[in-house]
Amino acid sequence: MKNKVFYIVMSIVLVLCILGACVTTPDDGTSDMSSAASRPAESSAGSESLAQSEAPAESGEPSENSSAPSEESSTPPAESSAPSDESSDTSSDVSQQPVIPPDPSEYSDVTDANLGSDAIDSYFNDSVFVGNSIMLHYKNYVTRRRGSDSGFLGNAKFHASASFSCYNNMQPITDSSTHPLYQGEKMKIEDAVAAMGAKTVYFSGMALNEVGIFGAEESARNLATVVDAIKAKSPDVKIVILANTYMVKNFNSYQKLHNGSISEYNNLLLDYCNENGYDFVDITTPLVASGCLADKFCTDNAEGGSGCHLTNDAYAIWTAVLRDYAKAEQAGTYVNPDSMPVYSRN
Amino acid sequence: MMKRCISVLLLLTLILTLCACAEKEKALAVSVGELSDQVADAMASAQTAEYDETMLLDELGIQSSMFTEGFYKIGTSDASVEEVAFFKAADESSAQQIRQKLETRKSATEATQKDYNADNYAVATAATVETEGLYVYMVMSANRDAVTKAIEDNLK
Repeated sequence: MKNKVFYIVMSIVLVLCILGACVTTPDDGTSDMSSAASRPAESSAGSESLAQSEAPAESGEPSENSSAPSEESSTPPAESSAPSDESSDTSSDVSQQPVIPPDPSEYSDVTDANLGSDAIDSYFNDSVFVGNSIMLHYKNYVTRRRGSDSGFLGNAKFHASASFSCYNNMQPITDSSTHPLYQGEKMKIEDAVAAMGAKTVYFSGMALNEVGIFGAEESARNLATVVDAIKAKSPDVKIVILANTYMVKNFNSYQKLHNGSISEYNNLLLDYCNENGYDFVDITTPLVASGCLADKFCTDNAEGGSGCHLTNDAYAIWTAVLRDYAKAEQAGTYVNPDSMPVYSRN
Repeated sequence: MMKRCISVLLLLTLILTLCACAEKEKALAVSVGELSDQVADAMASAQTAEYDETMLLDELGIQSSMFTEGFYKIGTSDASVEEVAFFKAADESSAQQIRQKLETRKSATEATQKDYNADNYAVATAATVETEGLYVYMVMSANRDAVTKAIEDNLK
């Protein structure tokens, strides 16, 4: 009897020992938890460079299908908000009056290499830049610049993704939708703006993923619908519309998406801004040569590319234009351009 | 006598079992900064940038409390998709959360590139998200194999 009990007890002990030995124990922090140098905020020395890079990308063509756009000719709905522009000339805070609309020659010497820091960048605090892949790559550009200048473009956030458009924003969020992520969750623009608590929205026209499908007028209506949604959730947010960029000459031949339709779209957006008291910033004309995006500002001009993505120098010019806008706003001297240039298809 | 023999056998079994089942914790052979440099050298993009804590939270929902060290690098030379993440999680629960965030990032990138850019879509779908103990890393790169090797060679 005693032996039987002994064998049973030993068998149970054996089983427990085997089970206990195979259970892994959590790490109790043998690594250095206090080193600030290991935080992502401290960029490694070798990976940050302001060297100019213009390697062309093997990007696909912009999305465009052959479905006919809506034939409606109504202009975007107007809101009753009063214009916010002021015409007072209080330029004591700026050393030089900015040229509005931007004269391309004013930015011909601006490059990524010579673009320095500027205290005006704090103007962009609490703002969010919204757009498609063009804006996504501006986000990457700003991220790289912040590696050596933490105040570059203030603490502006971004809500952008490839394939994004105003139309896509209005669609339901699904696993396959193209809504950008905010804090790890896909989010519509209006919800992201509210979640961020943004005070200003810099809204790119996102024409490249929309005008070729819906045409300029319906695309402009889609943008107005999204702006309405933003204002519904964030009534006090300031809206600033950014002009849409163009295609290079080699890619200016698509049936519906070309610089003619894009310039039409930009003019519709300008009208919309003037009707609703929104600022319109032309970040694109300084990049144009002979009615097209200048080849030197395009990263994917080669066959297989999209003919529309921008170089670091182009984004440096964007930044310079935005800074001039900010200075004019602070001085109370900013006015929207009278019109946008009209271009055409090849 | 029999009982003593059985006791000794059980003791030996216990010792052997402990040795066999004990899993060796992974450890980084270099500093995170050095690994970051090696990863940057292996990436396809000539220019890279790193997300700071604010961007990690804004873009991916990864809070600084979830990890003790790490980096999130992006390629910035052109329109190509390239992102490499490497974190040592604060604990197993955080490791799972970080992994889930990286997988969400991967699938979201696939969705945006699917009908937009075939090359980028291929890179996104081929991206890997791995967990080695408390280390969690994602490699989304045209140079995926070289970047992965840089990480795995230093994670032993």
